[in-house]
Amino acid sequence: MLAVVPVTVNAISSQATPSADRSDRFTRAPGVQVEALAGDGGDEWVAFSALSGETHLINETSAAIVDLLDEEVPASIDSIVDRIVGETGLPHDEVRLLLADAWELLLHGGLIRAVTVTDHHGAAP
Amino acid sequence: MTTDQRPRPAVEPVPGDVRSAMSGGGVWLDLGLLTVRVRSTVPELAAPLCSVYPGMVEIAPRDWADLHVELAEGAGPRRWLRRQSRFTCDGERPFEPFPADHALPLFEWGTNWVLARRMNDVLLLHAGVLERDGLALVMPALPGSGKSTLTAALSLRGWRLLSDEFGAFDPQTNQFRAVLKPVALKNRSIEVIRAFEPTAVLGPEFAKTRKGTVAHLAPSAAAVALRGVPASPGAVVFPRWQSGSATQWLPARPKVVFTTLAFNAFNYAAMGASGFQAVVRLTRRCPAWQLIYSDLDDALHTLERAWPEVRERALSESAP
Repeated sequence: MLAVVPVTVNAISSQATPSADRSDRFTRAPGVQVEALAGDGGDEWVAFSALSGETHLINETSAAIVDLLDEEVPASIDSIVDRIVGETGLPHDEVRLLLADAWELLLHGGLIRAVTVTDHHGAAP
Repeated sequence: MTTDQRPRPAVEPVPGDVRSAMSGGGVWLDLGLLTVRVRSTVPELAAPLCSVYPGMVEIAPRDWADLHVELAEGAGPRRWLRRQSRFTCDGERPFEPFPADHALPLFEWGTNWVLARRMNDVLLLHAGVLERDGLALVMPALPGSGKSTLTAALSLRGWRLLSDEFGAFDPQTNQFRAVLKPVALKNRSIEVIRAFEPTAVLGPEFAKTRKGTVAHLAPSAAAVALRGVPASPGAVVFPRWQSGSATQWLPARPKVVFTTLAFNAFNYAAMGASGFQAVVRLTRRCPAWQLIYSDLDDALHTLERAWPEVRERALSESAP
């Protein structure tokens, strides 16, 4: 019998206190892939970071955020909330609450990045 | 990796010829996914090798081997007193010497060790894999789970053995390929399988190895003949032998399937995104269950009863 090579599969839950600021902008981290584990979607998703080599178990809310973010163009929390509201028809406040815990956890997992956006004078907004 | 399509020699080489060939240019073992060239100066290897690799030992040289392994006798006085065998692959010696009469277990563990570290163009699950209806039954498990016993029993009831140790999933073709080696049975499993099927062809028993007593079940003639034929993903079953337990057949959630497959893969981390996508595809494609059992016959009946569902699902997914 052989020893198995340990693999990092992290569970990202929605229990942490959010600390991402509403003014922050985010991008999807380079090389991140998100996949549903069931053919019909469901609430079990996985994300793989090519940079860290780590795999994360994520819920559908986190999957939606990563999926909607672009690697190049930063987006605000408000804009992501607006897009989900537009696509699902869910109430704005409900979506904001659903997403609230996810940002910090996704940052910790290396799946998204916070970006400092500078205005045309070079100063942070 | 190549699979030589040349017809096998009609006459099985005898151990004497194999011993002689191994002390020279070597013999070739075509396992399906890969070919191993074996050289040995340990005379105790030839006879058990022939008995547990029936129809697979070739003396005629091949153009290519994926692995070149060697078993050599001990040096100095250990060539004569308490003789030893030493396993080497490309100058690497992963194990301490074994007694010379334990050359087969050393060969088996040595080649498994090398295989687990080299075969990075396929996702290599630590799993028993058998085929029926062109579909692979994949049984990933930790040591002590009863995987080998169940794999051996199924292989003796008409399921085609692809491997007891390596579930080799090719991400290019989305199929499982055979890594055909004998099933390593340990301790009580040996008697369980002898009682289960008295005609089973087992090699010699090796007592007092680091895993207790081991014996190897030879693959069937059909498994040998079809070792170049892959199998599509069919079902994933996580077996767990539990003393005195009634048979339990429990659906496994996708996240359990994903994490267990990834954890049981020798090279998940090494394969990066390709390994991730391969495990995702297997998780989506295969219905999965946990099988807790203590009665081998009942476990087999449970699997047999579930198999039509697996076949139907595969058919519906392949329909245009």
